[in-house]
Amino acid sequence: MSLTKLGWKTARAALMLALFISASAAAQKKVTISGHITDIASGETLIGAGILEKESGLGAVTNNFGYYTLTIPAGEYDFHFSYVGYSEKVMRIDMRRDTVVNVALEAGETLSSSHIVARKDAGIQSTYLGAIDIPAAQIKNTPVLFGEADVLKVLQMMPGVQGGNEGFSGIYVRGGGPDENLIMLDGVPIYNVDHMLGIFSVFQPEAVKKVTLYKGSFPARYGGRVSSIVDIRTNDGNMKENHGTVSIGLISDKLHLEGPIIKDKLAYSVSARGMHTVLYAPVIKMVLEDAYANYYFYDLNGKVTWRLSDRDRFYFGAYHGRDRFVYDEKNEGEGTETFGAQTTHHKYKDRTDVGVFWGNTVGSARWNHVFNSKLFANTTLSYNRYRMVMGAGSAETDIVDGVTTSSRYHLDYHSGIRDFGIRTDFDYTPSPKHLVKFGTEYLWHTFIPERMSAVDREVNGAEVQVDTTIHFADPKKKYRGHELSFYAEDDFSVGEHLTFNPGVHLSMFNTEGRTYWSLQPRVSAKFSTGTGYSFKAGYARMAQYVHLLSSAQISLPVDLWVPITKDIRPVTSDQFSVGAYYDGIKGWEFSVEAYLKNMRNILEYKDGTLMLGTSEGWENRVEMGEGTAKGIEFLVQKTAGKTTGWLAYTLAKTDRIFPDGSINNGERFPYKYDRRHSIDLSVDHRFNKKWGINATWTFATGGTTTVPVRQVAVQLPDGNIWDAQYVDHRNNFRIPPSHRLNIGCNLHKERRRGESIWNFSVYNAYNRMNPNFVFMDYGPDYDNNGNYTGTSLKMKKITILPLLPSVSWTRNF
Amino acid sequence: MRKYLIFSILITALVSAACEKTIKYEYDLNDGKMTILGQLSTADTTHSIFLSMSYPDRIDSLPGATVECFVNGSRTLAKAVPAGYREETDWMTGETSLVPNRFPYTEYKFDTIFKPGDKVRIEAKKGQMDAWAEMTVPQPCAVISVDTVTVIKNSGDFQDYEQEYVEFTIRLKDVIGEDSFFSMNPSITRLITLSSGSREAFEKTTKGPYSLSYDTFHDLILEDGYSSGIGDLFEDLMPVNYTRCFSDKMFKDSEAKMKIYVPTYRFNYYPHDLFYIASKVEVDNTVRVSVNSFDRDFYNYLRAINNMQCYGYEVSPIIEPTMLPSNVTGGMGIVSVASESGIDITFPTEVYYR
Repeated sequence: MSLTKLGWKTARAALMLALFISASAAAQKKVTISGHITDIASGETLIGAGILEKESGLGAVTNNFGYYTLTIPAGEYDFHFSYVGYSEKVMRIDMRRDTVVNVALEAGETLSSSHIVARKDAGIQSTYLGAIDIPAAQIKNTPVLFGEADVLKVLQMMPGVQGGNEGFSGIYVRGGGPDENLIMLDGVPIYNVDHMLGIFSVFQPEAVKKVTLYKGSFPARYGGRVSSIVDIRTNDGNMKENHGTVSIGLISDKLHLEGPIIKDKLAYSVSARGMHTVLYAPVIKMVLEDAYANYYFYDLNGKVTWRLSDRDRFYFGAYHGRDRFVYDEKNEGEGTETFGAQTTHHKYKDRTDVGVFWGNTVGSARWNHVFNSKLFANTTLSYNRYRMVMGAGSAETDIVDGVTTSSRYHLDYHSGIRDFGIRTDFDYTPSPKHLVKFGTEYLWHTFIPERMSAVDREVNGAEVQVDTTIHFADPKKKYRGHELSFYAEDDFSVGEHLTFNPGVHLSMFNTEGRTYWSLQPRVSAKFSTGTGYSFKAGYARMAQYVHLLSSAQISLPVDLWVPITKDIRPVTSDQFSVGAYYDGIKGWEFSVEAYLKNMRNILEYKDGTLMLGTSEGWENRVEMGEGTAKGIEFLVQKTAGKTTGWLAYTLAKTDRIFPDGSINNGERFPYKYDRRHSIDLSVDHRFNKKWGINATWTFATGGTTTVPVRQVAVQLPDGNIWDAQYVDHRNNFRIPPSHRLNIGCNLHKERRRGESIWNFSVYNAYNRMNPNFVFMDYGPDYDNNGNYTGTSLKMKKITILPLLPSVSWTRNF
Repeated sequence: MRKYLIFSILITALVSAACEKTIKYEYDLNDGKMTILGQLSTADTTHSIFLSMSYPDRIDSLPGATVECFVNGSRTLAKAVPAGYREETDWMTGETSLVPNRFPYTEYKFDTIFKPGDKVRIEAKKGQMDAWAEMTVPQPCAVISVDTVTVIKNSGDFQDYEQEYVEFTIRLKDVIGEDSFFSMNPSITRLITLSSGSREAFEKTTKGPYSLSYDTFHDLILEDGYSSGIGDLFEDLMPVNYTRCFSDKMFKDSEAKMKIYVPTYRFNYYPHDLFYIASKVEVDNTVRVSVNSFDRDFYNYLRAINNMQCYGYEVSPIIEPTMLPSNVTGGMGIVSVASESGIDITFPTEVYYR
């Protein structure tokens, strides 16, 4: 048989097959059910709620705006709508055409998330690796410092996530640095996420609906950071009736109000939190007559949701938070001095004042539009500003025999970053087997690393002797950055057991006349056995265009965000991860994931560089290098029943190398937060409607720090000999491990409207003196008589957070 | 000011609640290591090696050791300067004398001549201790030309005033085919001629060079990744290239043109104290721009020393620690032999009358 004849036969067979398939398709008309799933009491949209048709096994999950869509063959079906913590609702619907079904679920029986077998964005059911959903309730119930529930501190207890300095809220994900996490509030990146130097995060739990952490095979829709994505979604507001919460704690007071403006159409949600000391100002001023010092922080959240129609919804959100430190001192007096026959009357007045404030202001407007039952779009306009302003001054006035001399000096310093952004995301569901997401984002960054000016004015009588304004840095100096990205991904099923999620993220960053492009492939695959076991594998490349010039192991207001430059290239990472999972036991989830991450162009301060200081010439103070991180993470979660919680264990290793020799002589060294073992246990038990108890225990191998190991002579270029402390390599000392137990107890009391909750908690219950800082003390030693007895070496640690009990009272109405 | 504010906040917020405790740290106070230091040069005939013992808590001198220098296998034995003293050369007279030694080290001196390409080994022994450093004397670079011109420039700092500078334009040729590392040391040699009445009195020449300080004003090669040190917002916070070392990474296998500026007043010398013996004083200034070539180990060492000169010789929580490189086997420290090359610029004679 000739090749040509064979070709014709094949073509005919293919044609017949195509005709057969189209005939079958026509016979099996496809229809789509779509809509929003909400909480019946509040009308709040539920993120990740599921719809399932059990016979066919077809299902879908709501997106970040509570919207779902499911395409199935026409027919009559029982649809199961479910969500964790809500009673399942079954609706029998005769599906002859595309239908919109908005479903309201009632809070009730705690449903294990394993009951929802549809496509999810996070958790075991999702195709992604290292994706974890953290519901708001879990955040509120986890006992933390001063009873202040904290989003980032709960994240620290997830496998692969480590806290930085003990008790502070920085997060370090899979060997990455603190600036490698994209933390987004309703899709808008937040730059400064800390209050009180990092003891608390800026996110107010009352306003938070859900937190999702991605640390493995990142969805293609995210980009801009190389280690993690933290997607924080806030409440839309109660569409049915007004509710609120008042909370009084040891550190701060909180107020949350939400309710309908127009029932089922327009709702608001506002939250405020402020440190007590904001109210103490009059008292401090009264007690300290000539001086005043105060520090406080506050957060304000607001959101308005407008459900124009089933097709169009609008969300307007705003956040404003500040930390403020003030110091003011005044002195005044007068006197008479006599020199011989001459008498001089002297009067003086002086004042010194210092004020610092820093914080974020965020605004966003969002439009959800349902084009048709298969295509959903979300468009977001956003504005984000972080600003730090510092002012310090002194003024002095002297009056001698009626002649006035005065001087005034004032220093102003400020820095910040401002972003305008526009983003459009599309969810396209052509069939139950596919969920295609695509979209684009543009961010216009304006970086103002530093501006500083001083005013110096001196007046003697009527004569102005000095009147100078000095600009230490160019007052118009700004760095612009244009960040543009496109993405597309398809979460699709092949048969019953296999799902894939290939995607690509293409980004461009333009600054200082130079443009960087980055093509970032992402892929995840999941195989489910159908008996509760599943296996995943994934790969992700990420790129990052901004850096945080961080001064210390805590969050300082002078930490500066700077863009990459023509000399400093973007950070990139390649991460491979695999995982095995089991959720075959109702209410339990087991997972183990392993990862290997290679990072390039990561920055570290060079040897001998002062970390505090100016951003001027910062490129010269840092070096680009490489990092590796690898580890295995185990997680056991109990998601249903009276007792819930999780146990996480991480075995990890991460290091850095800077081949040019400017750091650690070019040799590999462990990363500052290289912690070999981390264990996190969280247990929440509800005895009855009245009493609940929760406890967390954490253990982490100490990070590393650098200490001198000997005294050594050095020779200066002029030939002189000097003595110095000798360090053999960077991060040569492992800090002792940290562990602590936090316990909290909640007493709920039903009230005529709502309930009151007393929370009693103890942070660091067994008073473990965990180290925050360690240093070498070369002390001259003295005996009891004060005689010098020699020099000894002592390694010392500073503990900031010992046992700290707290109590708070919350009233829900 | 800003540092003050930062620490005010820190102290207010944290330290009031902090407590300090001693934690276990194991060390052996008797764990001593021999340290060898030496900056040798092809321009010198007499050289010094400094020996000391490094311990976790102290530095001790190391008298009674044997220090040998091998140049292409040829051995020279160094002689120890008496313990507790060091030799110092008077820059006016050129005479050497012993002065008490403030720091605990022992100086060993020897005479030899180094040439580019020589294989050099410096070895020190005492008892069971045996440490050595080996290196090859690098090829010198060529200082092709130095041009000077007087310019008026902004001082660059925030006080923003203009002053007169001598601008030196130096052309340097890299050593072909090698990674090369340099330091530049301009120095003034001042010749003073005194006349009294109508007769010539006598001549007096300064023996030691009067070191020039210069500002590297935006010369990227000389800054070598550090700040220029002038005009920065927080000048004292910025690392400056005090050791004046730089590499050829910006002019590999080619030529570099560098500009340095020296304020004119640094050349001025008004000899009022000489007018009691002379009625006429003539001052001749000669500037020698010398460039030392050395190996990568010593370059890294100079950078480490530079960091220490900027921010101190102790480990601090707000400064990334500095690692001191070593090329000493069996001990610690650094020994280098630099190849010197340079060019002299003679300035017009300045004449002063009583």
